[in-house]
Amino acid sequence: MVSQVVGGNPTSGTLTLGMSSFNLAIQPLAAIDTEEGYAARLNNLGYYADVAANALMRFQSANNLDVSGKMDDDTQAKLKEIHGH
Amino acid sequence: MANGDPGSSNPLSSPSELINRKAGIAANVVNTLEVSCDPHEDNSALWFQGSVNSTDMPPSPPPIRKGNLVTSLVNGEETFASMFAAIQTANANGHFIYMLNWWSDLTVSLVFGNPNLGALLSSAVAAGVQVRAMLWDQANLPRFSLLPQFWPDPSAFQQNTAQVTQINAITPHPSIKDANGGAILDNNTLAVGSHHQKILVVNGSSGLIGFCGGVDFNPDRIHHLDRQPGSPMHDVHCRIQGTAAWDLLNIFLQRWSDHPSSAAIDSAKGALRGDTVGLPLPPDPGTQYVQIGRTFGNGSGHISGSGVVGIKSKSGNGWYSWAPNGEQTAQGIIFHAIEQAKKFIYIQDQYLISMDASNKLKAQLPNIDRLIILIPHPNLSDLPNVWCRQKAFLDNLGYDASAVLTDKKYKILVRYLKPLGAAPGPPDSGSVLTYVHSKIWIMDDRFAVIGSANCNNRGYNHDSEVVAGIYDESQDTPCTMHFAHALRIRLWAWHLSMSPAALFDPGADSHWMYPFVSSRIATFDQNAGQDPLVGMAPTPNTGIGPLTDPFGG
Repeated sequence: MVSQVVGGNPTSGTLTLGMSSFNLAIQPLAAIDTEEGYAARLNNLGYYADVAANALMRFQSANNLDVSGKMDDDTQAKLKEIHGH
Repeated sequence: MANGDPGSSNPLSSPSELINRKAGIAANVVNTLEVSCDPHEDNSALWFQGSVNSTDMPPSPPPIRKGNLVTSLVNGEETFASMFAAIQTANANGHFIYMLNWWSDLTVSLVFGNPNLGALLSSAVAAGVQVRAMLWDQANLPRFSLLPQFWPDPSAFQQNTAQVTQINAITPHPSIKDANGGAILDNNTLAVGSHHQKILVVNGSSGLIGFCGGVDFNPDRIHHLDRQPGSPMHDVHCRIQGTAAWDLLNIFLQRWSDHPSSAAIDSAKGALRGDTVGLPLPPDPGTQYVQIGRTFGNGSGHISGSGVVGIKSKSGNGWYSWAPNGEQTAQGIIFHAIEQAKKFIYIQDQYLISMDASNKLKAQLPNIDRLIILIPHPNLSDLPNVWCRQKAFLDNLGYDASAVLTDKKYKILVRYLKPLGAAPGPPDSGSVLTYVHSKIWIMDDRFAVIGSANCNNRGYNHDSEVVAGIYDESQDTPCTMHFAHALRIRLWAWHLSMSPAALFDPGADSHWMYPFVSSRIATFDQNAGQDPLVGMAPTPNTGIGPLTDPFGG
């Protein structure tokens, strides 16, 4: 887990850890109560969102939530808690 | 694999979508990104029993070997291609190719359009290579008289007889005395036992390379054959470079030297070149810890009061010289790893009927979140009373196929392979299904076992088997995955028909809960069918007692 304040409005970046580099396509973070917003947060946490519902299922399973593939209050609260905002 | 390969050139690297990725960023606040690789973790002492480079004998744990390069090989096409490449490295005097096989068809072309296996071996000998093979005497198993309903054609199981003859008849090198083909049709087993090991060892220009796992030299791993429902079979094998490859070589050396027929071949064709390969081997080629576990029958336990020997070994004692009481270190590696699991256990197995394994899993269930099992549908099985036996295994665990529909945290998921895109449900016929022939275990994305030992009494006590227990520490620089994690992702990407990147994270097990039409998996219900024959209820292992799994593959 890497945490960093990002200023300005970058559209791309490189995260370098030791000899490893991660190429980032940076997008503004949408609100958490939108599919775009929770999918982006899940992706930030490593839940690759090929289909948002699939990523949501995996997040729910990994966090002992009811596994439905649908956003609900408990899932949103947990996502906000882990992601930070 | 057409799908789900996170990078064959570096199978431990993270999926590319997790390296070149999107990031949703809020300006001027702390943003968090989970980096998708496994942190360095040295837990080898947890996963293995025994010690590094131990020289202890069974029943002590076998030696742990450091610094191996292990490559997982999924399905026949990939396995055969890797074997083909290894065999090509044996091309000069001093090199050798050794084989231990349950089933060996020398007409198989390991790579399409290239000479078949028999021709490869002949060419190798012509280049100065020594070829030796021990192929199980298929005809020695009286399966036909015991249950003719299942095997009406005795000729179907004389495969290895002609192959031994063919290898022995390879034209020897004209000037190098020990460059030739030598083979033994090996019935040196317990009664009604088999040699089930599938080992290839090549010593060539790239050094010693060993292979083990579930893949036989059989065209049913790469083609559909009418004689084998569910083919091409799904299978898993591995390629090992490093000291653990010597442990595979040592199995060949032990079996060869212990067999009554080997002395005559050594005298006529030359001693084993492999005998001169000693430890230590050249510098470590990789980062994996490997422990090679084996099963050998308990010869001393099968000697009757009248002096009937259990095993026809060269010594005449009735047991294998290296394991008078047999060896069960394959089972030991698996059962120890079960006890260490804290998150999940994933199994692929051909039979799934060992009640000892069922009891071991049952004991660990309270300590893990998920147990996922992939088996072939019983409609494909050659095992008498397979429904009864698998039901006993799964009932013992408390498995209820429909429980996950009401209990989202239900731990046990048992699945079989259906055609991609077919609706989940009981199949009308086995012909459209895929036969799961692999015998693998993955614990917590940390530890993997790849081998020939089925989850039955044969695999753990009676036949000859070999498994590789594999662990690595992963690395922070550069970011890599544990071998077990990478293998799990590869397999699940194939079975679930999903992107490897989507299966990296710890919640990926959720995709096994409700099998999708778009996947290859379907829910197995142990109560959905029954056996055509009755009367062979499962019994506990005894190690030396009556054989309870009289058949196998």
